[in-house]
Amino acid sequence: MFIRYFVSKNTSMKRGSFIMKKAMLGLLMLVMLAALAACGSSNNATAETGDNGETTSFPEKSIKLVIPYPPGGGTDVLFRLVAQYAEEELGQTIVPTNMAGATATVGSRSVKDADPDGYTILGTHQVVATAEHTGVVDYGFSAFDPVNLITSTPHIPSVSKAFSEENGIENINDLIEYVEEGNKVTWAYTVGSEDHYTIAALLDAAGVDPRSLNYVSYDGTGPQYAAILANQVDGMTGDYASGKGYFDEGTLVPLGMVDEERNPFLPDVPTIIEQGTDFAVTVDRGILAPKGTPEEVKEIISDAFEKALENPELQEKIEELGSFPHYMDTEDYKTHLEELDSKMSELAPKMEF
Amino acid sequence: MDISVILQAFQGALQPLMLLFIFTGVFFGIIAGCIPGFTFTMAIILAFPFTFGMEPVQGLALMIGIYIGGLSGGLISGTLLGIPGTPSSVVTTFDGYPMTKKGESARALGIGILSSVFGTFIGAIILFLLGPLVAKVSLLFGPWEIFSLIVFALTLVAGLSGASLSKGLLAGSLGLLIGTIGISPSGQVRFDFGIDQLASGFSPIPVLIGLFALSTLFINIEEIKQNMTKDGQDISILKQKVKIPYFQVIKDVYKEKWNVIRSSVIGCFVGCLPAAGAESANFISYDQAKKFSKEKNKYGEGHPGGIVASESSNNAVAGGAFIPTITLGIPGDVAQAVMIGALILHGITPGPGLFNTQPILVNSIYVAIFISGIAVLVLQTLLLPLLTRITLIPKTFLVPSILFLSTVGAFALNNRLFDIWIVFFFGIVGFLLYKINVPLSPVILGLILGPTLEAEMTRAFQMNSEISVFFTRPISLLFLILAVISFVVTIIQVRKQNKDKEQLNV
Repeated sequence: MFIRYFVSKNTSMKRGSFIMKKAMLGLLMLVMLAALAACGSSNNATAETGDNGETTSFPEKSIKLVIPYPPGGGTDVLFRLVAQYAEEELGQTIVPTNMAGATATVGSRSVKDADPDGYTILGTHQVVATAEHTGVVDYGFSAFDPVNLITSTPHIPSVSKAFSEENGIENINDLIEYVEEGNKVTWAYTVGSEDHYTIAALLDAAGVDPRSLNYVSYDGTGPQYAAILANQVDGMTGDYASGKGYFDEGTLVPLGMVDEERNPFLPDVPTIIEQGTDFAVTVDRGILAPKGTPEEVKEIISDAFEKALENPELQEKIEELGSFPHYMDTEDYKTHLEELDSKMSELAPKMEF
Repeated sequence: MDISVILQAFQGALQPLMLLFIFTGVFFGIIAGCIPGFTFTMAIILAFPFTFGMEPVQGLALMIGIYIGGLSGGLISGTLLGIPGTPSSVVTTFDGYPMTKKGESARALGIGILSSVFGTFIGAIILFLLGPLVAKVSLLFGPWEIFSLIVFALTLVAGLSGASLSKGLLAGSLGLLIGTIGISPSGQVRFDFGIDQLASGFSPIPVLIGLFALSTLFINIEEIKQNMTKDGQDISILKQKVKIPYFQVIKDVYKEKWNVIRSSVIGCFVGCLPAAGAESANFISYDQAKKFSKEKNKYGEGHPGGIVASESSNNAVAGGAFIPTITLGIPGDVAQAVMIGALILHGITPGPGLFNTQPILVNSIYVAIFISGIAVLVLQTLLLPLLTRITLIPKTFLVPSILFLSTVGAFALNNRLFDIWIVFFFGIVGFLLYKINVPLSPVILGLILGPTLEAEMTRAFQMNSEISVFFTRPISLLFLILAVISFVVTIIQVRKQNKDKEQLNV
């Protein structure tokens, strides 16, 4: 409305510095455009309610992919990358939308309550379940319709160089023994997050009470690395993508790979299973849709991601980010999540949740 | 340091395309910075997809441009309207807005621009020369030190933001209280009053827009009702001659040269501490500038030194925030995290090895910061005649326009409709506080610093349950002592002021 004001003003003012007026108007228009762009990118997918009957022509407009983390993090970067390739298969744009906060539940809640038409989907990982078990929210995986799995990322429990040298800790068994002897180990984690689950479940599988570590909470992985470098904490649960520089430099000593197989980028780091503890859980990033999303729609989305993940170029890029392409269709993903969830709920009481 | 690498970086950065990216970035950064609710972080996120198709250095240059432009842009609305464009320009309003009221808006803006350019340069120089050293020192800052530093910053908040100490404290406490809503550092949801949306707490930007921008609208409505505005005068906006006292500005900043250096060093150092942030840097710089100044009592009434302190430290934060990013691979803030994300997508892993593996890239960062500083100077100086006219637009049109843009920004930050309700709610709160003469800036600072304060305290106790550690670690103890001193000094000053006033009245 106020543009109109300026326009009319512009015509009414016959004399005066014309260039200045033009410049001011131009600037204003630019700002308005930016404003509209900012709001358009997040609005277009929710504007209309899809009709369940017309699913064969899905997708007719862009799809909103909610990422429950701030931009720039591991989850954000991975989903943005994969979405770029999947939208080529879909024939419609996928708009990554960051909705961060409250242990990733701001984003998950908005998708849970969205119309189940396939135009709003969630890109997430185990945090959906941990948020439920920590009591942040009262819903978990079962409140969504799983669509498909995209990638797996192995965790790497690691300790600082100083701690490793001082106490002769070079692998996970050294650490377990050290903890069993009753020594104090300060461990950086993000409360209620997937790294919290991995270290707790690992210790539990090794027969150690997960509560024997002295946990210190940080908001995300970045500050955890800082704390390691400053020797404020002894260890943390990292991964290859974010920890590469520190592993190369030797400031972070990897104790084992939490996966079925060794990581080709860190071939010298044995898996936890090789070291005698039967435990392998990766961080599994996948797509969830609101409950009640039509089967055909889920299939179309899932197929698009499957085809995208077959592209060797994308596979290579995912591996550069320290993760592995790991497609699972709707049925398998559903079973996978159910198994994961039951394991997590068993462990919940031991995690000081 | 290999000279040839630096020369290569310069060569790369001085190409027309790179300059174009930097200038574009700075331009959009300034726009994003000057609109409350549009942050440079958001602008960087919007630019993020564009960097996919660029060379890593180009993408980084664009983002650095936005970053530097945005840090500086916040001063425009803060100075002209008293509505800070970014949380880190809250302090700029203390002296910038009074100067505008006195009709010296061009001078105030000029001082702000020049100071932020110098701040950028000094920050970049420290980053370049002392980066690794400062990074080592910053690692000495554990949770105890950061806790004490924030306590110190908070003690300054109350004393600096208004005449009444108790009202300043009240406002600060209100901010701290609001900051406790949401998820606690130990993972429990608290004070959500059964409203799911409150579980993530209040993010500072919607609160800032509500408190400053929407409340201004309410105040305007009230004023308009009291005296109907004279129509017709507004047509002259663009015709009116605005004189920009370039020479005066240079003289002002030259007079405050030590202030520029001191504030930039403070800004740069606080900027490199994880979590401490630009907001505390500003308050500390402002406080120091005031303490060292011969004209203490003029601060807060439109003293150039106040703008210099705020803006130079505000922009020096950029150089500081890059220190942990480059030397340790740890992003200092969200903007840095996005930049790192862009590098990762190009297959460059930031980390301690970045300096050895990508020397040209790292040096290009320094060069890009420098060029961005120049771009800030050029663009803002060119925009200056236009900007000063903003104050001539009738507020009836100006404030709703800003509010519209800000509210869109508040929504787009986290794509949540609820954030717009937060704007509305805090608009009313801000208006009520204004009515009872409670300053608004401590509320915002309390809200920003409170959660960090608590998280650091929790961390400190998770590491060591003894409270004595806060007093036995030297840096932590130093800040706690400074906090006590600043508090006592403030009380004495306020008493003295009140006495003077009484004498005047009698």
